[in-house]
Amino acid sequence: MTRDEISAKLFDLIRDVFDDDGLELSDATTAEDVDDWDSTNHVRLMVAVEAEFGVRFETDEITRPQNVGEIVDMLQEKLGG
Amino acid sequence: MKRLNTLVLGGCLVNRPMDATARANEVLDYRRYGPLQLLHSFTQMFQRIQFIRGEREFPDEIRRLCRFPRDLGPLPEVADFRDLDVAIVEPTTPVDLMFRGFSLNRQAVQRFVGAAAGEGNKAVAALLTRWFRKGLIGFDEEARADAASKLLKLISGSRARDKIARELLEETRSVKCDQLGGLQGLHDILRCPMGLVLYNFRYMPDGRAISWPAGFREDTIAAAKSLDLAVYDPTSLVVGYGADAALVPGGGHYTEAFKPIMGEALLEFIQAVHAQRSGLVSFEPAPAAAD
Repeated sequence: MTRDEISAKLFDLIRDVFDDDGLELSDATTAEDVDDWDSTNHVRLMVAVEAEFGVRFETDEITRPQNVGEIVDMLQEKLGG
Repeated sequence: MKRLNTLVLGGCLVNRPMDATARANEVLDYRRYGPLQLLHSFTQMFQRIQFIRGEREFPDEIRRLCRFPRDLGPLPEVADFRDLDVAIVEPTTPVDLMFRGFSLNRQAVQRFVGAAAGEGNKAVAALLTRWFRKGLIGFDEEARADAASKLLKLISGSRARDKIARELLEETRSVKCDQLGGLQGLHDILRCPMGLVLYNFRYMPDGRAISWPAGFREDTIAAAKSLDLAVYDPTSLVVGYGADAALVPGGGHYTEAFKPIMGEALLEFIQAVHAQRSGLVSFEPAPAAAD
């Protein structure tokens, strides 16, 4: 998958997890920019990301990302894109 | 056999299993230093000690915002901890919310300000999130100040609680805790065998334990190691029992069925700490998973 394809798929997943089709997302979006993106929902999101992309994160990778772009970067690395 | 005089300083993943375990009261005198209180940072643990020693005045509103138990008062007869046999600590956050020199309970602050500002309104809820999560917990001073100024305009009442809510918005700041300094400070005050219980924020479906924020678990372990303290990691017990059965939906608390099982493990750990055992302690999973 290309980075753009990963981003598009991830953005859809984030909108799905937070149940907000109108959520505006970019690489720079942080958890603080999204109303319900607290630490509990972050873990819920990462569970969904693992399932959707068929990857497995190390435990420190689950909490490390500072923004959406960093999740995309991790996925790209794991998917070999 | 004499019960061990035990000081328990931690959050709900320690306190609730202790209270759910009948044997805890037979083996330990863990209410000798007052009823259990939800304590999340070392600063809050020091406050608790200051309180039972009567060393510091805690105004009523601060007591509520620190979540001091209603039936807790100074305990001068035990406040020197000379008879303390063992202590366990479970720090759960590296961030303190400071208000007039007191570290406040996060949920209490959120609820208090939220109630005053009208949190049912979506726009208000978004402002509260910006003030609290991005501004305070995320250490974003610009976001904190901006959201606080907007929330202040929404709290115009003259009740005492409105005034306190405004003061919380104006004066609360976040401060990073020093894990090693905190642990060392407690060790110096208590002067007894001390053990550390690791806090796992959540578990992934396959049982991987998640620490929050990144690096907190490692910092905590490093601090305990440098003082040669015993460390209990609850992960294997939770995973052995089944994370789904051990944790309530959302994953932040243990189920009623699992609390006494974790309580028994904590009892064993406390006894091991008292016996001056150090290093990483991990008990075997419970023999049978929940139905």
